[in-house]
Amino acid sequence: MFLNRLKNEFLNIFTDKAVLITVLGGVLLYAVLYPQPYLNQLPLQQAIAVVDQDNTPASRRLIRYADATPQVHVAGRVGSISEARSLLLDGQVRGMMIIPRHFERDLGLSRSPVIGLAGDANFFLIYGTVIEGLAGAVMSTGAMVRVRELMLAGVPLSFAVKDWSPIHLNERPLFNVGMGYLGYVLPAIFILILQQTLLLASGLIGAESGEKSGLSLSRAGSIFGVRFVAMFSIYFLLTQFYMGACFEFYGISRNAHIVDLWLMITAFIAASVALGILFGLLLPGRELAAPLVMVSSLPMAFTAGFIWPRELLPEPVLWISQWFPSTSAIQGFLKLNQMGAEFSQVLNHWWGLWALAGFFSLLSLILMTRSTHAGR
Amino acid sequence: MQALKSELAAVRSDRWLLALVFWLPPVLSLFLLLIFSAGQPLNLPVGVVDLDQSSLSRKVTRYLDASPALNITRHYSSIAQGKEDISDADIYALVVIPANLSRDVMRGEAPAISAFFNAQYLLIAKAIRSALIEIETTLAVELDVGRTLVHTPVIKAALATSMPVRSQMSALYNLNLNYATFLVPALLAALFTLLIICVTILSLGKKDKHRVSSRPAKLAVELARRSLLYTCVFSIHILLSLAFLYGTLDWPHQLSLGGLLPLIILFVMACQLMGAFFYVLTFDRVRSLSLAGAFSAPAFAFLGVTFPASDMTVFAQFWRDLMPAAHYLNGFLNQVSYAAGAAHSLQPILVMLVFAVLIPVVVYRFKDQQDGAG
Repeated sequence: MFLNRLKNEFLNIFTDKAVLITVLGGVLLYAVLYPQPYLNQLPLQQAIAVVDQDNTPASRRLIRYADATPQVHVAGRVGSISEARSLLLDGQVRGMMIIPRHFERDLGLSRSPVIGLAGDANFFLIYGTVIEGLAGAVMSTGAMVRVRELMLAGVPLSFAVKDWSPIHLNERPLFNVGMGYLGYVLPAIFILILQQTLLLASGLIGAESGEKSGLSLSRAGSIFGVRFVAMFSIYFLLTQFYMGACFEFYGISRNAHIVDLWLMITAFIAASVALGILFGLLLPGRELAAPLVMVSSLPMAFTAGFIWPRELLPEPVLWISQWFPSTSAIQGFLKLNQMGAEFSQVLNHWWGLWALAGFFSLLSLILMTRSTHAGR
Repeated sequence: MQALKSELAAVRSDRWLLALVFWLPPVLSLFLLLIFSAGQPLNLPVGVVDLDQSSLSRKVTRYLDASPALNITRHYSSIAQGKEDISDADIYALVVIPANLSRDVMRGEAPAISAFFNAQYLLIAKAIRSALIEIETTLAVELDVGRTLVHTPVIKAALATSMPVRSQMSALYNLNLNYATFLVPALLAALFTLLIICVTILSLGKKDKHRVSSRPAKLAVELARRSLLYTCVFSIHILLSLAFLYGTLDWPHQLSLGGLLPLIILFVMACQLMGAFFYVLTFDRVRSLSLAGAFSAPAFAFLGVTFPASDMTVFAQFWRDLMPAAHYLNGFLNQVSYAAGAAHSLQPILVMLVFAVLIPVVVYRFKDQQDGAG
């Protein structure tokens, strides 16, 4: 009986073109399409313009240092700041370095000349890269001068090289060690893609269904159960595909123990399927499913905490975001799979997802059993 | 006028279309704006392991806490404890002050302070990293000046010795590196792309549509008349949202209405054409919306605001060029920050005119469908 209904539900899903486009087309397409912008991982070799008002061996050495950094390459030397500005406007360069007149002389006289560095801050990642590269070149020049001075003062080279700064910072990026973009975006956004395609598909199926209200509890329970099992099994597999083959292909770390991962996936899919069924019941027509799912994606992505710190979200935004399964799921999965947390450390997210699953299921059952004359 | 009125009546009869056209755009825009209301990542929780417990190590701790980007929320007695809280995301970074820091500095052994930070959250990691580097520089100069003053008792000269070259950094066009002014315009462009494409498909596919002419020219006029309302409403939405950001909130800008208006209207029309194109692919609202969703849902990622377009793969750049929002944003940024001359704003406008090639495609598909039906 149950198996028969389940078979019908699967038939429904796999014969509905719109649902197929969403579930299989969407999930497979995004696995290829979404990583596209980030395949290069880091923006390197940004073009910069140099305004060399000194034109001495020292200034040329600084320019060589800048050119030698992986972050920037010197695309042009221009005579004035306004020329550099127009190159920036044309998009030919992303930043500039201005070496003042008497740079070499001031360096020799210990007057600590000031190098002007500027970058286009309309694009933060470019700005950061340009400044990192240029500041590094300036620092190398400074270090070299220091080492030379120390040696002149009689300090042996081996000490001078170490001693040019009294204290050092040893930076250790953790988890996404290369600080690349794929490892940052994909693990989180793939979870959102799974949730959104699932919501869309359940919306399309649910909106079509004639039995939305006025059902007996056992009938409602059976419809709910069948739909739940069908969607759950499809998405349990698709999640495995994303977190297995796709992560492997894109070189994303998979630190979680498989059992922990399954536990988390189960809670995440359960919450999403329950929300999807509820969504389908509330939708007046299936054409509204895609617009609502699409416009909700941006707010969901930016409140999940992997881009913008959740500590800084205003209270109402925080409150709304806790109703999206993706919020807890993204945090839980990132901690388990990327940051190597123990399952006990993500229990709050796990229980949060089950609470959502329970709440959305209950609401769906109430809606289905409520007797209204609004049902078609 | 007549066309506007009849279409408006049609929208008002559909509660959900009404929402998508009139009140969801401002509500969603405000929500996105609210997310970034802090402007900059500030007071990010970090932990400290102080293995030295000297006046110098306490100074380091004070400097960390004084940095606007950081907020020391935890003190640990061992690294292991702190690391657990990092993988728990309770703290975003762990600063380890080594034992004998003070002694090593005195001896000139250049000790290293270690900072472990969570690079999974890239934006946060970058904010923490630059705060740490700033503190490192301040500390280094301060310690060094103290050392040099012994030999060169003139502060200015001592300063010059510790920093032979200085650099002054300017963040052009976004002076205080505000994330809201950086991200929100692009988010709105992506949001409006989705809204306009969806509304176009919904409105073209309404069941109560009257018969249209089968002569291509008349049909084109008819379709244009029916789309006019949405062109107007969405252009006004975008204008109002920009007026709120750059007027009411007083974000810095170099915008002028004259330069902006053609850009906005062309952007809206280009999105409408994309929507119409997706509609005529299937003549089925639901399936067209699924296709349109597949195309435009990742719009934001391709816009190239977070990850620069120039560093994308060739395919990603091609895909980006298919998005009206990418060209709109190019033109918008030219105007908002560069105060670029007409020549610079003209190019994105001309590029968006290319979307007009979709007009004959849409019209002829409609004609075919009419002929088929009749």
